Amino acid sequence: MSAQIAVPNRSDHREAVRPPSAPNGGPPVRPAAARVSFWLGVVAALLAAVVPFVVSDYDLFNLSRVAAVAIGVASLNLLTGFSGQVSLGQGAIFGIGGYAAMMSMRFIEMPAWAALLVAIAVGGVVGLVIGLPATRMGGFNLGLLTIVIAALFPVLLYRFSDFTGGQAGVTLSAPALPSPTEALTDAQWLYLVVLALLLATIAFLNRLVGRRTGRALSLIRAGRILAVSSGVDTHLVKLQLFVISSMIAAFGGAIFAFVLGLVVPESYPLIFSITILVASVVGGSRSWVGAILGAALVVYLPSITSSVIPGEASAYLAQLVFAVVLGVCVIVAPNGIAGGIRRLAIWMRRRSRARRSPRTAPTASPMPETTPDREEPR
Amino acid sequence: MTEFLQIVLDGLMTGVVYAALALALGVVFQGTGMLNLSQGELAVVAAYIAWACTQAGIPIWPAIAIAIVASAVLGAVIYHGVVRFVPPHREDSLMTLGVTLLLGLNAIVSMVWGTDPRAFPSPFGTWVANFGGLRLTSQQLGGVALVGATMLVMAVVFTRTTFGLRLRAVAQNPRSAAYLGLRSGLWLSAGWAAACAVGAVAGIVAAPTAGLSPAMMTVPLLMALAAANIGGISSRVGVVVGGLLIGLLTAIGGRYIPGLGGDLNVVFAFAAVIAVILVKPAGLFGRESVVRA
Repeated sequence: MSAQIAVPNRSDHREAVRPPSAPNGGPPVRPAAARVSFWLGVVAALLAAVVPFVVSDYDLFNLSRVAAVAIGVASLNLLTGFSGQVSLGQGAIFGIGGYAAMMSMRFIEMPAWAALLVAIAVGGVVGLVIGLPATRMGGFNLGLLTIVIAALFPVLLYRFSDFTGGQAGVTLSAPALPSPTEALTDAQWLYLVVLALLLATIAFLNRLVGRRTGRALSLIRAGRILAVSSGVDTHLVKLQLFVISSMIAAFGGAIFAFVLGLVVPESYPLIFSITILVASVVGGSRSWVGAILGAALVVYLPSITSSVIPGEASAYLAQLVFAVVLGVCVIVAPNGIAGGIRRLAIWMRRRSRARRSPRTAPTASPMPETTPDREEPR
Repeated sequence: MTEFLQIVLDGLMTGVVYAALALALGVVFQGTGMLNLSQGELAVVAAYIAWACTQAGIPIWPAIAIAIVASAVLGAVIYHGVVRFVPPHREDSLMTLGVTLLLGLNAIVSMVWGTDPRAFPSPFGTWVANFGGLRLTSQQLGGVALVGATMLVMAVVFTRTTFGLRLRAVAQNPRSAAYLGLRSGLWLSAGWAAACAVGAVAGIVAAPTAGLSPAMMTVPLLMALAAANIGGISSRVGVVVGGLLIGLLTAIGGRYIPGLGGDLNVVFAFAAVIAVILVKPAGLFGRESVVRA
């Protein structure tokens, strides 16, 4: 039965019948390349761990912000890149996580780790409440529902200001994660903790999309009917993904709040949610490295533009640059910076091989990097 | 009773702005399959153009005409410059593109004209009509008349002219239309132009009461999205009825349900959307699309 369905469709749904051997659920990478990228990752992580002893505390603060935002962007990558759902409200859920953690530390005097767990739980509940109607409605309704959440979140924060502190927000009297030893300053310790949490999150997400869920997702992307006839409950898988993504976004938001030491409504306007989407698309929504690149863009671009023109206009210049970069990415490089780099690497490898043995070159890599979503008829 | 009637009237008159914006959303969606989240910003741009013209000494009505024509041109330019490069079946890319335009237009408006609210002169004067205890401002009556006239023109264009027929043909089945010799790119950009002209009217009608600012159309856009969903985005009549319905519902809800009002009206509108969607997924007037496996 399944063979009958799968065989005639093979050319259309290559993604579906191919074993997902790549670690990130993308097109299969040959073992050598996988090993190279694994070791590259290890080297990068080691370098990142050495950084706190070389740079100033202010730079560390920015890097910690990048890492925290990267967790939020990675959670959105799970949705947009791997399950094809566009959420415009990830920034609001990020903010909800921040508020949940800060308020439980401030008002119930929880320890930081318990506050993180509270944030994750709240994120899961919010994800379930939004995801239940949104995944059922399907199509653009998810985007519609989430943009409303994103627009309303700051309004609600002002509206219930007795509870949320209104304009002033919630602040902590002491650092959320103070350094346990004399050898490290608070900033250094915080950075290392955030870095470790980012790596753990990415490892978790990578494992998630590489396993059974990942296979179900590539089936859904290849064709919903194909997925249903293979026994995949598409609603359930999408809902699961949405809830997990919300939990991780809330987790990242809590860490972001710890890094900043405060939460205020001003941090989470509609534009912030959109910026998270920009980071996801521009960095590359099917790549975890892309999430970090995108987060770096979000954190550093405003300070770059403010050095170009001072004052209020710099924020709008940054916004304009975001828009232009995003537009270029949507049209020219749908897989973002990370996808572009991968395509470049494949192209260069093929060229170097072509130079060495011109006759066998075209068949050496029969599976060029494809975006299955582009080919599939909807 | 008089109070209730007054609220109903006020609600319907707010609703016409939502209806116009929702109609613009619907025309773009039918043509290019894109949920144009930047429609509100396009309306803001139109209002600012009209305002800038009046500042330059042009009388208000010619200024409005200039703004509407400029918006139509802008719509066609956006379709030709950006939208046509994204394949129509990529829903996620199209939605991201809408967000891109929203970000970009918002940034440009804020940089050119600043974020401080400005007073937009009402083109309809400032008198108030009273009858039977109900009061209607000239702005409300004039707004309804202007939006109503625009919709009438659109209805005639879409159903009674060759232009509208070709527009609908390309929107409904681009391939067959191409076989009949219609250049789909040309007609889709005409659709974008028409949508942006309607959106411009919404912006100009909303500006005198809302105060001209870059964020002026954020809430109306959300309301229009709700309207498009309730009425069914695939039906032009549906989105207009949806807009009026949303205006009415939020006015009544804001008055009689304690705790609602102001920005929270959006919550109420979307609760209504979810209620309708659960019963009729394609909206009140929408047609369900059936896909063959």
